[in-house]
Amino acid sequence: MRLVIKHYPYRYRDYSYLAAQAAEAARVQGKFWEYFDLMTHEKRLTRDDLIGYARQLKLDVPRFTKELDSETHRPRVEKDVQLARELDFYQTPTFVINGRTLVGERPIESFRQVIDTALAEAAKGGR
Amino acid sequence: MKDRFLQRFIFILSCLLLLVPGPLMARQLPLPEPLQLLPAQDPAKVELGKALFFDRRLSGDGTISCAVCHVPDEAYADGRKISAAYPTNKHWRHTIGLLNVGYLDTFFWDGRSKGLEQQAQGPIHSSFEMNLNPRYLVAKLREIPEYQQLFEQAWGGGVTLERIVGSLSAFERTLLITDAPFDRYLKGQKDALSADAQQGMAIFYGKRGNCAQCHSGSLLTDEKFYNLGVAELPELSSDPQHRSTRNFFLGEMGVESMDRDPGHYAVTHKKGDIGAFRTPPLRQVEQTGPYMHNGSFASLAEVIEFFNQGGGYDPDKTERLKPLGLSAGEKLALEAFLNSLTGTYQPVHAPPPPGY
Repeated sequence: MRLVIKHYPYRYRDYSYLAAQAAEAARVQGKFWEYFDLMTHEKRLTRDDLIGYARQLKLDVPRFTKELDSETHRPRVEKDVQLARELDFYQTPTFVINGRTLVGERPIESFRQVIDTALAEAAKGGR
Repeated sequence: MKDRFLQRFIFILSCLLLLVPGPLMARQLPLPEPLQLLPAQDPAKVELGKALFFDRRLSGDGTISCAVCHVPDEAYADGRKISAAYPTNKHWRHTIGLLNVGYLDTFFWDGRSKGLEQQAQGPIHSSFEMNLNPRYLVAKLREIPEYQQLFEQAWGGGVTLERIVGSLSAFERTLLITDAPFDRYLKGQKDALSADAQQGMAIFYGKRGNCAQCHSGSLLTDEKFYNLGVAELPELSSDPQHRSTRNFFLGEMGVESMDRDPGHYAVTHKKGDIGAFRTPPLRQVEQTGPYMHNGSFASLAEVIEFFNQGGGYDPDKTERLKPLGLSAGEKLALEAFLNSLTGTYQPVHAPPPPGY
């Protein structure tokens, strides 16, 4: 099973684009998930907060800050946004599990059911 | 001699009772009439309604269509405890599924709408749902030539709000379930229900469960309002976003602020209606969890246990609910009956949005 994250910063949120780029800056230093978890737990997303999280995770802060300020990772985020629009996805979070779409926050049971079905189909020689 | 005769008589009578087929016993139950077919809808209005139903431009920020909360794959409910909301906001009630909605006369958990057309308009302008001024929606659709054409074909005229909600309603009236095993049973196919489901049906319609005192009629709802004592969700009071949504809604309904869901009281302003919610219809109920107005119960087994306990606690709880004392087997049978209300409905896929 493979989990792929695509960015879709909400366009009317002040810091969502910045936060997506910060997650990418953490990813190139090998700590995407740690950064993602910390950021979503703390919820504050100003530039100073995002740099603070990088410091907490002992990332290379000067490099992180430089990439954030120069929008190094913006093209990658934009590419994800473009993909979402091509697929007509406008809600965050949107989950796609082997072609089946689940929109919005869901109870874990919803995912279990869809994943179990997908696994059963895969076992039968599908995907 | 007399005793032996009596014993034989009782034995033969017992055998005869055992031989009485389930359907004959079921005939004693006050079963409803089968669902009658609704009048056919105008295909052009249905097509237009379908396009609108899936069009996220019906929301203020262009991200939410009706189908975000009424998901076709999920019986036009959404599988969430509390419904989705306009981005950055939080809702405060559970989404109601749309299957068979064309049969209903009362809409929303609190009954604040008396017609499908009126209901269809509600979420579009609701600040915490789709958040779009309906007059602005009309102006937007008038700029899309493909929509102009669809409105001409369906209504012989241009875009108006009445035609938008009329089209949405026409589409919603085609979302039907009439072939559940229980439906087939009512139409005379006596082997459509398993033995367990028949036992559950006897509990549902008989004195053991007495569920049909409210879940009555062909739709399994009386469309009336009852306080069952369903507990408030703590997060709806503790979270400022949920709380602000509730307080805004109460203000809009002209009701004083209160730390609970007012239910039907918001509509009638009668104290006796506090915490009373509409009896939901039950077709496809297996697929529309979580249950209750705030999604309190994750499964039908939890709902059945709730009613088995005589409902929850509320000083204004309806007197209709009493502890039932159902056995484990009876509860399973009741669940089997509820599962027999699951039928098939036509798969609907999102059409490409007209225009840009």
